[in-house]
Amino acid sequence: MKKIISIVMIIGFMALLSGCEDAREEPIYEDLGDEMMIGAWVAPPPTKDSEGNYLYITEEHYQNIKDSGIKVIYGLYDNTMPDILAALDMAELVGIDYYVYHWGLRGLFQDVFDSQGNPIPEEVESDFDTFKSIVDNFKDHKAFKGIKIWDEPSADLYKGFALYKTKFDEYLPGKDFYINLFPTYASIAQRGGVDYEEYVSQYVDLIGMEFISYDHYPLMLFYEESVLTDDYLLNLEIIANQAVKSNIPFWLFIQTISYSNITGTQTRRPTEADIRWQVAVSMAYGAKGIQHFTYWTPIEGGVESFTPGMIEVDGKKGELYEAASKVNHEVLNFDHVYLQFDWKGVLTHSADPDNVNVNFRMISPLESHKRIRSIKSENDVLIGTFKDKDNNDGFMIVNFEDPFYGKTNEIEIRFNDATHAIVFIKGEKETVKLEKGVLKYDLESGEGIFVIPY
Amino acid sequence: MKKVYLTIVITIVSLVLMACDITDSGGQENVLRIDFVEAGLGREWLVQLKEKFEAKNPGVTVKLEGNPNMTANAGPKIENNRDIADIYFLLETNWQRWATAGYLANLDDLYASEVEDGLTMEEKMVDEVIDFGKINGSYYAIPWNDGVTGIVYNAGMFEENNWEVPETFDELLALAETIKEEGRGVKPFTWPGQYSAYWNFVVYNWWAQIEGLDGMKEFYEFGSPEVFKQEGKLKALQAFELLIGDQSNSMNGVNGLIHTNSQMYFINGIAAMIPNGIWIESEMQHVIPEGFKMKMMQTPTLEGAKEPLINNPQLGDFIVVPKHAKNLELAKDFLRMMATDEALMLYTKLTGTPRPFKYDPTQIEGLSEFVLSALEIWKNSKPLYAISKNPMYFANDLNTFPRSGAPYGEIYLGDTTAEEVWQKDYEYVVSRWDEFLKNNNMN
Repeated sequence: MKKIISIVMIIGFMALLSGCEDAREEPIYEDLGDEMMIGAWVAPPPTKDSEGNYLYITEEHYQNIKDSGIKVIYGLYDNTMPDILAALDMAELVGIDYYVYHWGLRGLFQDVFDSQGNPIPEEVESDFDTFKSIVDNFKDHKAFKGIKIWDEPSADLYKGFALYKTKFDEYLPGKDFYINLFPTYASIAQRGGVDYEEYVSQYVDLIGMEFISYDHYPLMLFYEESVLTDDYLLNLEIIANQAVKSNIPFWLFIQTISYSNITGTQTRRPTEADIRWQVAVSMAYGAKGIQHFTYWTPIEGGVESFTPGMIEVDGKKGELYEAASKVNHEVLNFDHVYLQFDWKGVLTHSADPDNVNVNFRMISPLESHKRIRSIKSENDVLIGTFKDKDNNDGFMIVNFEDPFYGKTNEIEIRFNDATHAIVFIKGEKETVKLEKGVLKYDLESGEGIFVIPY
Repeated sequence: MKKVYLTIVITIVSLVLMACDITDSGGQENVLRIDFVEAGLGREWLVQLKEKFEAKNPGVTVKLEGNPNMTANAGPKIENNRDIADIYFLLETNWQRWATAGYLANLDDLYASEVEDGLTMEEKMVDEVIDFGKINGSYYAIPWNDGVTGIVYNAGMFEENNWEVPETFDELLALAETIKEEGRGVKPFTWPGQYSAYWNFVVYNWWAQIEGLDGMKEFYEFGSPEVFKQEGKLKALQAFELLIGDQSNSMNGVNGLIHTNSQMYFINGIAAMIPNGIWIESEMQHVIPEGFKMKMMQTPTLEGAKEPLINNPQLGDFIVVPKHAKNLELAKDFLRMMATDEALMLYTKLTGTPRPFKYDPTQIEGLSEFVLSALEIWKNSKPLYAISKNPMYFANDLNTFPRSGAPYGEIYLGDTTAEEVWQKDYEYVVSRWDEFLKNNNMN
């Protein structure tokens, strides 16, 4: 009897440690044609020379956008019909897509309800006529991908957006109805008095959005010192959970510029490592799109002022153009693999358990993962966990230290049931043999690697 | 034997599982966690208060978490009940929405409880700020810092050149001319064009001098768009226009400066005066040159002033306790202790900043000449607390300059005039009044 008990216990124990899976052949990932959405805010502005020619809505400037890996550029200053059409032509010429921003489309379907909240048919039709009269100018253009309806709305506007979207889909099937949400650090007043989870869920459920887009700029600057926002991961968690629940993708903005405003808020100027870090963290949460804020440096800031973005105000390529382009292409090198995985949650690992990273404390990570036996690291690590259709595990392993401080991170992860791993490092594939299931790697500052153990 | 086996198995399995346990615990019993904005005031004041509190409460530990971005970080924590502290010390933000949304602890009993010598928290507070933390008839916040703002001047330079500290606006204008003539390249003013709202510290004082505190109270009640026609606002902006609309009164390039840059120019003697607050000394303590002397002047009086001695304390920084705080009663005990004379004097001694309670910080030994000059203003002036309870204000529909924010940069550049700002603010509010009422369910 003792023997039987022992055998049962040993089997049970081994099962716990091994996850009960056999070693497998290297998984093969064909390119199925899926690509990460890479967008960018602020298209080349419609500035003209003395003879009336566009200075920046040109093939050269649009080719720069394409070369950077950006697939969709978002109109902002080019918001009159001639400018929009010129921008669409340039986008088509180089082979990218374009989001239209037109003032006349912005406030439609908001003031069409009676005091009981019911739509007034004549008002709805009138707004729909306005809508059609504007979009008829470009709706069949090859580069037209969608319309930037609103940036950072209050939830008070959702009801109007829901009606708007119904009409939009009826007239422009397959095009994007683009609304970008506030971050978690926006005030309740800005969100329209609802908590953040409700703000996001209503956006999806009431409006019927087919993707979630939001912004959150984590790289702050105080007295020349870098500080990360405490809620960067919380924001990702709320959005990623909603995306899974609604079975839709989410996209978020990457801070590729520094801005300050009159309230004293100041973000810092990102580096290549900062951009790579934001992208890696986003992908650890299963993001299917990244959007650069900004491509062209905003011309006028109102209450905000900006340092140069990827492209400076006068059209010159800034150092951030090279940095963001490099990271974009790293993503595009392996997105066909990454996109074959479904996100399952994140693990966190604190190098100093007595001093847990505040971003980690704000979230509800997985407690463990049956494929991972142990994690050792020099600094904090964030690990996104994924599964593909064949039940292979994928892990996005990110050096979760503020890239401002340039810390590398030596990691040692022991996988259960794995002799090898496919590792994507800066988008390049390597196949690594694992000694006793152990993957060792020295993550650079801001770096994340995508690992598929087998 | 079976038990031994079972124990071993359970132990091993537990160890295996524990190795993978990477979650973090939240608040703990008897560990009072305080999250605070760690910026210009540093953390020594809180470290010393922590030690006092722990000594008085054996078995209790106070855990401090400071971060310069805490005001922005606190919202997501409080609203999502994640990694929550027991007390938050934050800079001005819309805490009223947290209160109405049910995220904050009701502090009525704290306000009504005795602090010392038979005085309750409410009685100990400066009378004008008692309502600061009240919303819908209950208390949800406590004012953190009081302040002193106005014009800070290079006292050493003034002494060296025999420049008199101006008492009236006309004397200030004349002084600016004198500085330009006698100052060997020194400019009268530097200021942060990127955060030009620093001029509120002076312009609001002028406005309140003309309208009186009752007029200012009426303005911030936002009872009708007509308050935007107040003459005091126009006269204050016109005074600014006369002084700073003359670009020769500011150093070159002010419109590109942030606050720390402009303060560096000031302490390096490039300009003689700067609009600022009592915190400047603490904020610049590591870079102030040896022997540099500065003081704050009582804001020079405009002609026709009803209330010549006004201080705009910029009240706004606040303390709240989240509703889900793990140690609610300990949090209240700590805040009660902070309102005692001993703690208030300690606070001001270490930060150079007063709190809006009834005590006399000018009696503190060892304060700098600058802080003393500011505290004299605090003691002798009527405080202008620009507090609004109007929902349109909480919703950011209405504020002092609702159309375009602080207009000082535009006036300096000559892009607009004082009268235009005043008139357009009024027209803007009139045109959107019904919409603001509707937005805030005030029809």
